[in-house]
Parts: sequence; structure tokens; C-alpha cells
Amino acid sequence: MQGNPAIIKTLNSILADELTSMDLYLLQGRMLDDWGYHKLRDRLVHESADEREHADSIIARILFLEGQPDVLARVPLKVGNTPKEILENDLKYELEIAKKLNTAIAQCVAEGDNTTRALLERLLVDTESDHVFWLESQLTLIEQVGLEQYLAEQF
Amino acid sequence: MRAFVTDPSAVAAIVIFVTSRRSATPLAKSGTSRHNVGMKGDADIHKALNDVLTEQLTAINRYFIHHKMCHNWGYQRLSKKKRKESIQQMKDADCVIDRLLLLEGTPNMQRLSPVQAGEDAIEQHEIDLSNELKAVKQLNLAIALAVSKGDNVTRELLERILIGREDAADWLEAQLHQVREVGKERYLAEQIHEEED
Repeated sequence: MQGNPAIIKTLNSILADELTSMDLYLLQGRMLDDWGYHKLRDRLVHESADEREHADSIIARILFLEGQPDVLARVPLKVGNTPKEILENDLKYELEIAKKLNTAIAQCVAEGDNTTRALLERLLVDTESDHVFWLESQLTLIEQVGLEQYLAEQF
Repeated sequence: MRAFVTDPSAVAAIVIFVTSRRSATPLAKSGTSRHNVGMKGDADIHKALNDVLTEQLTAINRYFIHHKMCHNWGYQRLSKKKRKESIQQMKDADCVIDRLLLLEGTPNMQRLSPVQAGEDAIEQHEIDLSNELKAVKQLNLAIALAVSKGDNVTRELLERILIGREDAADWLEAQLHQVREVGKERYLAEQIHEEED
């Protein structure tokens, strides 16, 4: 089914975000593993798997709309140097993605492509209710129990 | 949140409610009593049971908002515990409602005391404890009433509930004791992960 080129372009831009965060979370998960924070590693590896699944469904949609998925594009990203920095950067990034998804959803509504809209909404729910929620909880915990105590719980 | 849907205790609570609703249907058809000669209860007992019920309905809500707040803050151990308490209060209320209906009383489902919610996890424990201690007092008074009226099944029911409330108060006192000994930050840090069963 021939899709709207503007929608395909938006999907490719979101694909770049998803693939970038997939790489980023995997890298950070391994860094946390290296530092001995295994519980945080498990979570980041889970997030990376989520992003991979997101990328997968976007690629499928682009192909269905007869577009060319660009799996090489990446967004320049900052990698945190400490566990707290990692969490803060990730939160900032997830919030940006949420904003971008909302804009893309508005575009899908305007163009009358409601299946793409439904797909993006599912990604948005994951982004907000799973990733952003978890990251905000962690930063609240660090504030309330102190960084050292928080990290001591992540072995 | 996913655990909320699949937790067997939640399913059990729902099943209990469905069952008691079913058994209430014939009762509604024949007026207030199922039989011509029914278990007519004492008016003071009805009032005492309804007071206990009000306390329970309030506690269901208080523990539930504490559960949701702890979940939001990331204290998974506390979140799970508060939720369990909320469900336990619901099960206790279920028994009190059944008893009231059997005694031909009218369970008051509308009356609630103000639901207090603590602004942090420790304040939540303090509020829960003071309410549990109030409930213990209230239950002991109701038990004394049941004894004086010779209603020993109500007494037995209230005693079972009382044991649960004292256990809850005991747990809360232990938590506040730990907070004093290890410090608030260390205590809270231990509440981040769920306990492994």
C-alpha cells in the first residue's frame, strides 16, 4: 500500500531515535554491569529490548507503506559517565521522544493515517508509562534516600 | 501495574464480591428477610458492626492510595505491602457485610471517615498505625458488646478481625522502630525492591 511520503519521512526519523536509544541503552547497560550495578543493568537491557521491538514495528510499517527504512541513521547522543548522569540523560531523551511522537501522531491524524497513529500511540504509552515513569521514580528515590544508599541497592 | 491485574489475591477479592452479590439476590426478592423466622439481630450490634464497617471502608481507601503513592515513588516493597493490607481490609469488610445481612441489618456502604494520606512513606506508616490502634480499640469495645448481648458468632468474627489488626499494628510499629534505628534514608533504600517470596 503506497503511503504518504511525509509520514514515511516522519517514521524514518522516529526509527533513527529508536535505533539510537536501543544502542545507547545496551551500551549503558553494559557500563552499569561493568561497575557492578546488576539491577540497573537488567533494567537498561530491558529498555534496549523494548526499543528494538519499537524499531521492528516501525520498519514493518515503513515497508508496508512502500517506503525505504533507513536503518543506518542515528542521532548524536550523550552517554552518561555515572549512573545518575545516565538516568538523567535517558529521562531527557525519553521526554524528547514523547514530544516527537505526539507531533507525529498529530501529523497522522491530519493525513488520515490512523493505523500509523495507532502504532505510534502504542510506542508513546511505552515511552511515558514505562520508561519515563521508571526514570522519574529512580531520580525521586535518589533524592529521598541519597545517591550512595540508592546505588547500594543496585548490586 | 501489571502485577495488579494478575495478582491472585485481587482475583480472589473480586470472586468473593461476586459470590456475595449472588447470594443477596433471593434476599432482595422476598424483602429484607429470607425467612419468616429470621436471625433478627440486636440494634446495638447492628450499629457496632456498621461502625466497624465504616472504619474498614476508610482503611481500604487509605491503604490503596498509600499503595499507589509508594508505587509512584518507586518503593516497590512498601507498595506491595500497602496493597495487600487494602485487600485484607476488603476481605474483612466482606465478612462484616455478610454478618450484618444475616442479622437483618443494613450495611452502610456510603459512610466513610476522612481518608488521610501521608505525604511521605514514613508519615504513611504513622497514619496507618494510629488508625490501626483506633480500630483495635473499636473492635475490643464491639467484642465486649457482643459478649454482653450473648452474640458469640459476631464476637468470634470480630476477634478474627482484631488479630489481623493487631498484626498490622505490630508490623507498622516495627517499621517505625527500624526508621529510628537505621535512619530514614537507609530504611527507605531497603524499600526499593520487592521482597522475594
